[in-house]
Amino acid sequence: MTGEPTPLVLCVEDEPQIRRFLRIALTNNGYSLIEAASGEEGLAQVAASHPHLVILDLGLPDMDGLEVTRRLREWTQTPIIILSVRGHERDKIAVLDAGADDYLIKPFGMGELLARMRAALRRSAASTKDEVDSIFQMGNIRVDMPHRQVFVNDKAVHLTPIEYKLLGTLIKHAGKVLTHHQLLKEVWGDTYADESHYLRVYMSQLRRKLEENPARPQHFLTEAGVGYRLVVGDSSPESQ
Amino acid sequence: MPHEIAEAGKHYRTSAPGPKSYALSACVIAACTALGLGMQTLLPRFEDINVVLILLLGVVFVATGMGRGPAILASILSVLSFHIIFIAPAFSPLVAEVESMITLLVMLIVTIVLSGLAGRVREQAEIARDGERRAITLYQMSRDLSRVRGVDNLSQVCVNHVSNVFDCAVEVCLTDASGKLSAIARARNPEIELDKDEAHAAAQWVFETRPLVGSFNLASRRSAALLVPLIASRGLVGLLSVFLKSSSQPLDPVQLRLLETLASQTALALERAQLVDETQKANIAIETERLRNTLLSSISHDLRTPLAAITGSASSLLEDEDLLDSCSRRDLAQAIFEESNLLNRLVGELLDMTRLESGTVKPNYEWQPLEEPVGTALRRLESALKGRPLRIDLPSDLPLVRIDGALIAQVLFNLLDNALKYAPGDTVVEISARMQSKELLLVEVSDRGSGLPERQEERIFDKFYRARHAGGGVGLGLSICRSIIETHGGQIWAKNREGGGAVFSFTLPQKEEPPAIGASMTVAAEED
Repeated sequence: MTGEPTPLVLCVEDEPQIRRFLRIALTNNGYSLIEAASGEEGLAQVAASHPHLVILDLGLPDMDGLEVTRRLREWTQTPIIILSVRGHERDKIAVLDAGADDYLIKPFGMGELLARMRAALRRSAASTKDEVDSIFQMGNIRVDMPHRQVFVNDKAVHLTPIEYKLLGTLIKHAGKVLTHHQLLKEVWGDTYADESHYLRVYMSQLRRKLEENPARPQHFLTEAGVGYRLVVGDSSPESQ
Repeated sequence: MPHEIAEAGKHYRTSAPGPKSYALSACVIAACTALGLGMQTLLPRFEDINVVLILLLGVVFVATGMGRGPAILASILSVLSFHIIFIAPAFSPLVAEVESMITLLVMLIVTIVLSGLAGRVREQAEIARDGERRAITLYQMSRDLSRVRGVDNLSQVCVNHVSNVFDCAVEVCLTDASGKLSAIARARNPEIELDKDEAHAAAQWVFETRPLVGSFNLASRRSAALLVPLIASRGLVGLLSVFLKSSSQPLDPVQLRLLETLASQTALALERAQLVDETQKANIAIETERLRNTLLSSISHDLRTPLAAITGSASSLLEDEDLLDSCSRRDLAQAIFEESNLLNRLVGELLDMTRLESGTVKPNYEWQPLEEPVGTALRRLESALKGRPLRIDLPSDLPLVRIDGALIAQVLFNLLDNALKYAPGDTVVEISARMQSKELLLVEVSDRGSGLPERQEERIFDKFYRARHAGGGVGLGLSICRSIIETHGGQIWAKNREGGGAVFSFTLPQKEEPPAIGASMTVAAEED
């Protein structure tokens, strides 16, 4: 983060103990922090201070974090990372479909949160630049975007147009959990948004072509019952 | 089989000889006369007395076979034909002679005595057959009653049988907790229009005012209702309402007795079912109590141990700040981190178990390749798996399976976690899967550890069971697995392997064909 202005993070969380340790850990890791203890306060803070990233608790006293996410997404694309004790897939899908970038279940390790925050900030920076790197590299997989070519260990791999489109979508949102619904909509279009087994079949083919061991993927990760996440570099093993 | 019953029911109504029988008796006598005439033409010495015997044979035949009326007709006709055709072919004044009067009289007496005797024999045969049919009806219903379980199904068997036997509409009402009657099972009859409110009001009235009398009639506008109390050893269980067609005759005493017998059989079966229910509830209550106690003692021990470590480490960090070097501080922080992770896992297991037990977990079945839950489980175990040899054997032609991915990932996680915990660090852990048949997926997780304690292969799936203290977990991991697999309709079991180690296997039934990937999907995505 050297040379860049310290990123401003808004933490919307009603538990003072959680706010306390986030404050200590985040300021020590080079972030500036502003805090809000309720949903309304959080919405007002986003409008007033334009933070680079929002950390949002789902169980707020005045309104649900899901509602906060929806209201924020009406006007801003600021990355939102959800913190919640609710671990059910349904809750995750709802808030991810509403536009949240990531989801962490409490309790979580600080390393995990910092990794997700970095990934979210990187994506947000890339999307404002509005251009994609022409060569995308992850592990031994290399994607030549302009030529639509994919290499594994420098050997060219043939992908069908759908597989390529799916890969491209995952790369565009690298590091972010994409729900089945979001992926189907983006790759196949609105009509097929509920046919998740199509997605699973193509995902499985992509893994077989690109992963060393498709049953133990290093990049194309399944978020059970929720969707998929493309992990590029600093993969975090404790992810839930 | 319902056909048999309906057949039996029809015979409960006896019938008087119809005009057909009279016509038939006339035909018999005509035939006998013809036979007599024929014999006389063929054999000139064939005497009149033999003709009389032939005619008498006809009368006896009619008397034994068709009842009294047709028999009397037959005797009169035979006397007439004998006198007209054989004695006085010249049409002399009829029955003038005393002799013929006597013949007629004897013939009539023989007829009446014979038909009376035959009638009684027939009646007795009929009664015997009735008895047999009743026994069959009773047997069929009691057989069906013994085949089903639960108050609802028993009531349904009862109404089906009663409505078939008596060709009527039937309703079984049982008392609920508040003492009100509520209809449990119903058999309709297209010819009977039921006023449900009226029927219920009547049933309730009978139930409240005269619960222990036998069946009695209830005049209704559209149908004749018969209310039979269902009484068993502990008293009134409910009420059987029978609605006969308005056109049909009221039941005779024999039919009424049959109905009451069917009712009392049903009442006994219902009472038995209620007793079983009550026993089951009592057993569940005892089991719940036992579990709660185990849970409390387990919580107090397993949750307090990590809490003690956390409290101790944290307080040491706070109070001895100046005394600790950076290495000790790190150790204490590490302990806090590890113990809170353990605590979190314990709480998670307890919550999962409670949710699975209470049935609030609604599996979200979706078609997916098995490698997805396998990948998820392996990912969650990544740090524990570092440096461990692992063999994954998933055939590439494994079809899509319909499962809840998150729950199956949880099962695989628990099994793998166990294998890693109980087997030495350098031994190989294996995951394999194959279709055992077209409809059954078999998944196995095996290790080369010390294996399972003898004869404990079943018990290890019990709640709070622990083979030996291996740290982490309240002993719920495997019972969570069992709950999840059973929710999926499969089975889970464990065995020791030849050459050491244990293998945990579970099956996931696949009742449907996996969906095909339609061409339209390919086209839709490749268009742009």
